[in-house]
Amino acid sequence: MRHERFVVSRIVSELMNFFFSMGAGDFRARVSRSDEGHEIVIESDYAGSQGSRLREMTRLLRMPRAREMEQYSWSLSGDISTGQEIYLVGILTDTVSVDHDEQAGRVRITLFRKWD
Amino acid sequence: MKASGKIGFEKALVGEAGKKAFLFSFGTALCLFGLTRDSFPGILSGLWRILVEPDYLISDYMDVGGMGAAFVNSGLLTVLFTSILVFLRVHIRGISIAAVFTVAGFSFFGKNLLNVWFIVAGVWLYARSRKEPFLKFIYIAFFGTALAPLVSQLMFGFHFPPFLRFFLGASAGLSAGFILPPLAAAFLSVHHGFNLYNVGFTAGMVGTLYVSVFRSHGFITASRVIWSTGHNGLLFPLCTAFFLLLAAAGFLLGGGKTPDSLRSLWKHPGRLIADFVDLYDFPATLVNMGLTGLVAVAYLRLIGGDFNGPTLGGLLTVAGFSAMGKTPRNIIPVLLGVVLGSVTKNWSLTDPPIQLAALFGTTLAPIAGEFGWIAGLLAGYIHSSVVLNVGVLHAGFNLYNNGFAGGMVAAILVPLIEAFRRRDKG
Repeated sequence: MRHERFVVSRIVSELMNFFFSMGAGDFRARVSRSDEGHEIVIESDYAGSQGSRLREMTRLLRMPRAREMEQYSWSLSGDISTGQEIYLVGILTDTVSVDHDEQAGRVRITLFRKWD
Repeated sequence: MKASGKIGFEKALVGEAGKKAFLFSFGTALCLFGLTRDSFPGILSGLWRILVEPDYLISDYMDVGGMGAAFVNSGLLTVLFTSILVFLRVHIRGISIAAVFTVAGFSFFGKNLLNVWFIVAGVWLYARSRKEPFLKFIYIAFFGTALAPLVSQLMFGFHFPPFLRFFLGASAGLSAGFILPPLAAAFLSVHHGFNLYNVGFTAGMVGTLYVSVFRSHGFITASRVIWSTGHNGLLFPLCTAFFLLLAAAGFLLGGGKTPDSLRSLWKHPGRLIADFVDLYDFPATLVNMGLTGLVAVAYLRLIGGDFNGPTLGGLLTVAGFSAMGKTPRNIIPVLLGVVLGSVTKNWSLTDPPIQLAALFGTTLAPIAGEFGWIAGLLAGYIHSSVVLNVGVLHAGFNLYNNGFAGGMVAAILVPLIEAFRRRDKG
């Protein structure tokens, strides 16, 4: 996709919106670009007990990538965030790993988006 | 807790083959029903009349070519567009069902076996020019066929030499398709995904541009309404049975899981891209399509509306987008907003454009889903006025006139609602 860097920045923006809406005080994002694609690592805390929202977030992030929908949908991610847009992050990425430490109230997400 | 890896398509309750069979069966059923409504030669001559008719809004193919030809036209296009998805090895998701049902619906009043291909080819040319796979633009191509009447009008609506007419029609269709992909992505951010018919908004803008150029050169098309009546006795029970069948099939396929999935689905606001097949699986989506379709059928029946080509198009589009955003919960406020409009405004709910404004106005369903009933009511109320005033801009060449109007309503309403409801510190 020609807008690859925009897509990656929207993914980060979407997740930042999401975690701030969950009361995050410390959100960190790291993006590495290689010949294979972009790796996006997110680390964030959140406020209170948010188990069900995080389970739903994980489910949505695990949605399979949909190249045929990207041109139609990518510009919506990182826009008005209602929480459901995490689905867009799911269909824009190839692999995902979510590590949730409930006791510490922290989440680490690793996403990978391959070049076409 | 640790989770990794993407959810595989093999985990779905209904596999790819089942979903493809559903779309093919739908197209085949439309064809078979059409074949029962007229003789074979009658259908062929009806199809010919449909092909050579300038198709701008509102051109009811049940009047132009007869009921048999209209159903066969819709069924064949459904099968052909599904075949394209299969050929490109696209996974069938909610957006696929929405796109195919929208093509099927509008093939009752504007899309035909000739005019759609120029738009699709234009999008394909864009993909080639950018050295990108056509697959990425496939849904823009499908929804972009909203501009198909541009082709028909130039080919058959003016008295030029045949070669020139064909050249002008083909050029307009190809060029419109060529410019749609970048615009469709750009215009999404105008209404923030709260207008489900996004390509309708884009096509309205493109149609306005083309018609402005045409008018500057002296080409003027008179507005018209070709609207058949007298089919309610047949089409009302047919539509009711079809949507009941969808709901029943969904319940059967999903087994005990369907009620829970449906409850979750109905809580979704429906904002783009709410792909219900991905999010809640195919059976719950089928039930939602059936029940939302039944709400639309009940509305049309209660107001004393007509079941004909354009309203059938509306019903199928409502059902199709119930795989991607619409639910009974979020369309009812919009419908009620249109009804409220009939109390204070100088038109009747049974006026043809208003029947369509109500059915297609549900493009704004996500506003009700996200911001509540009052916002949905307001959206329907305002939409029913806006839609009557924007068609003149594109002279009916954009079949998704309600998508065009809906985009404007959402672009204005959503930021206002957001501004007044935000209370968080962020």
